[in-house]
Amino acid sequence: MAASRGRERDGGGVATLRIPSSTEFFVGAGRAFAGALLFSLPMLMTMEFWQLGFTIDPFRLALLLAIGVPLLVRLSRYGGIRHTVRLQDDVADVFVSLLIAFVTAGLLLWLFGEVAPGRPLREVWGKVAVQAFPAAIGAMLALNQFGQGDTDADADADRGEIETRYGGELFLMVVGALFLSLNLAPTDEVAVLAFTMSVWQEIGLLVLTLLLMHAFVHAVEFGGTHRRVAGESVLGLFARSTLAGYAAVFLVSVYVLWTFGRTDGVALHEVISMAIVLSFPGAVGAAFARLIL
Amino acid sequence: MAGRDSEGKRDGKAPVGTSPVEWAAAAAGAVLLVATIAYLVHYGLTKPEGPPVIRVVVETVEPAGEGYRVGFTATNEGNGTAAELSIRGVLRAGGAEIEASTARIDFLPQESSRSGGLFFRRDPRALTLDLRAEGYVEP
Repeated sequence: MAASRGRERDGGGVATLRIPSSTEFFVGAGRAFAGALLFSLPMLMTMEFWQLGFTIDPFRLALLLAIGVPLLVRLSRYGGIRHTVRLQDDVADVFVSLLIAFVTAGLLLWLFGEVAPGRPLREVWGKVAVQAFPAAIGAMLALNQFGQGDTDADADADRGEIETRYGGELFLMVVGALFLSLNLAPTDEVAVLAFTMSVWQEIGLLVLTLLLMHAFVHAVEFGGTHRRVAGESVLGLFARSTLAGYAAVFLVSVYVLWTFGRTDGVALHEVISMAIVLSFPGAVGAAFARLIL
Repeated sequence: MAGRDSEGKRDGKAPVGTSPVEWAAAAAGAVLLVATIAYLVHYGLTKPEGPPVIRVVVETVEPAGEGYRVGFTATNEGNGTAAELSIRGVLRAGGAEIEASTARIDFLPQESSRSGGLFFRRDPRALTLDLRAEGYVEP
């Protein structure tokens, strides 16, 4: 808190924050474009995503985009195009990220020949809109991935303060899980794996997912944020952090599968199988979210 | 250290406000997002998912290699995507089937057209050509 107060004083108090120049804005936008590109290329070059442009339920896509805004606003505090302390600046960053995401996806899909004049509006807009949210996450991560200023202790202390809260920890896990699930959920491979794996293999995958999640976050101490409340047992930590995290990842998986229509007309046990399969990459994403963000 | 600090500030580490250029870009992004959501909801409400309605039109008939090529355009006028759509062309003479060819379209989205061709050994112009969509699955 002392660090952030100090910085506010440097900038002349919260009400009169320094207004960045246009050059700074374009540098940030360029980074965001790089981030959007890096994170959305796997999706832009996957056939299932092009097909989703016209097969996805329009209401579910609209819901994903609507849910995306508050999520990105919160994410802006961890990443974002620039360092923000006020909500209105976070909101500005989010909409700039979304603009960059739409432009990035539209430009590349046009170059790939996947969207072209003469194609129906629904197909063109759908194809771009499906990419917008994941690409915007990529744009928001630009500062952390490409910026140089954020690696020092001063900035980390500021972020650490938000991160140490349990809710913040789960939030980062959800974003990490969401990001990897969005990449993989539309592919046929998830469904094929769910249909071909036996129950025992699936239970094995579930156990492995839990162990990896616990190990990545607490034993190997990636990101250096592991902490056990005084007097808490390993089992308590496992339940509070890993099990709760896995539950969040599992729900994210089900939501993403539903959004892409993968659960329609599918028996409950197959939905669970798909969610277990998708939760594996989701959990890895969740565990590494702290490291990336 | 001091040098690094000031560089860090220029780099966006210190909290900053929002410039008019960024607000303009943010407004454009907001408009784009709201328009997208509005369009999707409007589309969902006005054009609820229905079965595909396929119309196949013969565009060209021309000699190709050792036989003939019939170029066609399939248009989906319904509100559902047809996957694995097969287009079958049959040549008849006096009701009797003489020759048949099939083409498959992976995806034919609603309100979209895709073109393709069918090959025949005999000249379709001298016979009756019957072209139609044979079947599809939901994606």
